[in-house]
Amino acid sequence: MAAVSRLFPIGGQAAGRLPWPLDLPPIGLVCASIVCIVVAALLYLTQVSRVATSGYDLAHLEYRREQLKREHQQLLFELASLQSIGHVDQAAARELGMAQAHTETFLPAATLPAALDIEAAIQADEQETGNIHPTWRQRLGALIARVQSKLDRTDSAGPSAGPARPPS
Amino acid sequence: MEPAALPPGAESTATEVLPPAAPPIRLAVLLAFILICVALLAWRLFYWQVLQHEWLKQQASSEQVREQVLPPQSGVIYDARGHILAASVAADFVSADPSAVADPGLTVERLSPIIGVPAAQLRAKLTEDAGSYVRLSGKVDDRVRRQVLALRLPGIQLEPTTQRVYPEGTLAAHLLGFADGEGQAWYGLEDYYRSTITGHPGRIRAEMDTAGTEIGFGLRERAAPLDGYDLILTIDRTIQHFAERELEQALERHEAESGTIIVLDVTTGAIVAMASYPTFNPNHYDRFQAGLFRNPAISMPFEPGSTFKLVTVAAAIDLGLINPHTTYTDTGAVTIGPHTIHNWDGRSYGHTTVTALLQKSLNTGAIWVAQLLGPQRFYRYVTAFGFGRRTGVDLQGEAPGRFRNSAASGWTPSDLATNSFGQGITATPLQLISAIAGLANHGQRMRPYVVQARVNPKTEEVVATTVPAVAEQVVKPSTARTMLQLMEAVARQGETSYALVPGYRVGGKTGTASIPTSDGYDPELTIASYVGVAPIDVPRFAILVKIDQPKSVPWGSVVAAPTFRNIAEALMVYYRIAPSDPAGRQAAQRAAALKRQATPSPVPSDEGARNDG
Repeated sequence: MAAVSRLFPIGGQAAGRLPWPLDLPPIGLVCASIVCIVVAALLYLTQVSRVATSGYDLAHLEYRREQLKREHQQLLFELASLQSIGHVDQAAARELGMAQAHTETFLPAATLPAALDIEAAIQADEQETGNIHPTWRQRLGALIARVQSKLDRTDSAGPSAGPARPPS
Repeated sequence: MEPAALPPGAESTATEVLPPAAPPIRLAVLLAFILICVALLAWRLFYWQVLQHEWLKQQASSEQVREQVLPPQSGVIYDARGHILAASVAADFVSADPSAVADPGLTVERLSPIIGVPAAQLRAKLTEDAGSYVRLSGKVDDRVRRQVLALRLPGIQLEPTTQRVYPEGTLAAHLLGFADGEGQAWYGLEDYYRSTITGHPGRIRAEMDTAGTEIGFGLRERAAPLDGYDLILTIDRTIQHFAERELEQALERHEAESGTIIVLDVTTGAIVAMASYPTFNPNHYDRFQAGLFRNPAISMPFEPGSTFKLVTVAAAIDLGLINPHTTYTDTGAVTIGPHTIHNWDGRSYGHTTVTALLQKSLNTGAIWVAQLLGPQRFYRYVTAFGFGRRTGVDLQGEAPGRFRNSAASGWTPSDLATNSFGQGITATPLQLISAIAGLANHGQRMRPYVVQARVNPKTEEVVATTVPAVAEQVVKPSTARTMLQLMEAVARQGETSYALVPGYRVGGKTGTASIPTSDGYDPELTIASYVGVAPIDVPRFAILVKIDQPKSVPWGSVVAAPTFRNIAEALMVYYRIAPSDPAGRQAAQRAAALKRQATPSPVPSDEGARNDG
């Protein structure tokens, strides 16, 4: 009994002797300890519960990821199938009315007009039209547009072009 | 012990204390019974907790812990320009635990139309199988999988797996091979690169709850699968498609049964296209006969016929025995032992040059050259050109071809004679074109290959690249140059200009080989072929066209040369190779006119290694 009294002294005298934290009486400290343990246990349970829930979420997300991977693979396959040369061949013939080109014509450079001096042609074009373009891109664009319009005029003025060639 | 003495005069007021009685027998029995029970319980506890610990642990594990194999993702096969030729997609097997199927009738009724298994078959599986697992279907795709899941049938499960798919269908089927329903690779690249493409499976062990869902904080051991590597091929699907289309048209035009086309890059040995017909669709391999799966280009040797004369002549030129202008007297027939061998047309040409020998494809001329060489030197060159042994191409099922050299038992001088013009010797189409490509590559025969790189799909890192390898320096570069000139001369001569390509210089040689039978050679059927190089001035491609048993015309010059021309022309355009022969346009236009003729002339203009001997 004496030993217990030494361990848990009752009364202000004992309190005065020992430096109790937070000035709590020993019985209060015991209660506080119990509360702390309970809180810790609750926290632990909460965490475990949360981890468990997260585990299910994780499993669900992994399942979802697998699903998306499957769909991705399937879509890649479908894309490759649609882009396959056999499919494109059929689609071009069936849906776009294209036909296979049977002949290629090569024009040797010697039969073409003399080599084009782009710079001289652009300068001539600018002098003729009076339009000075600041960048080479605009200058080239203007020249091409003029050549195109000339070709269009030639086509429209010429004899009938005959039946349209199938696209190749 | 004596009782304590009372003081005098005091009376005893207490009752007399009796000595303690012995415990009743019933209590002793009860106590013993309890002790025995406790001992028994302790023993059972010890038995289950200690002695049976491992077993119980395993039992619990088997209930709670599920182990699953994680299939690796097989590598993708791409063509040279990155188009997918083969890939793997997720699929499932539909299986069942018959003991867990609540209503077999309803299950069969609902499941059968979805998975495409006859109801009777399905019912038998569900009712007659006593085990806890039965597979109900082959691999099903994602659409079927969703439908099965939506049914929520008890006892019906889905087992994840992968399925090999070939988005280009029949394109390059012989070259690719296929993987069957169990994932087993067969033929072609799939088989040759099986371990590279397939990878290694992983494994997962995890604790499950009663609903079969993984417990987040439970046991979880995961060994990730090692995915297979992607392969990048040397095959260009456009050229492959073109070659296949040309082959089909040629077969149809000449009522032939089968054929092969190979396009080889002469400088590297890379195979740009390899087409054979009849073919199969690797997506539906089970609908085709197994005989179709072998790749004729590497697995089916044939007697090459007159195309082989290039080898004979190259050997003699390399040894300095002849040159293109060397002459001999062609008598039209050569008698060796009991055999007499004639030229294909039965004619004799008298004073003839080596160039004319090839242009007219004279059998007797080839025999003359082989006799100049002698058997030892002839067969040494034949071996150096790669005949009689595998080329080493990275495809499954390559055959070596065969010939009987002078050291072999049973060899006779007539073997040398017939071998000189490509009869009595067998070679695969790849061997033949590989040898010709060697002539177009300064005399260096390259090892042919199909896979140019292996790529780790996760890191996109190239883990291995095929370095073009010289298999053998077959002839001197000067000999190779001379042979190219001869091949060009052959291509340009007379009506065999079926092979000429407008604007380009090409060279080649026709072949019309008789087909051996059990009692000699078939008198009617031939194998018509053409081997050529385009362009010949700066050789880039070697092309072989082989048409088996054409019915309309038997000659290689008429049957195979136009197909060579079409393919060479397409290659020049596709690879933007500038025309190099404006002066040759006239000849080319003539060839184009021939091409436009509805029916090619049935009169052969050249050769044929038809052996009368």
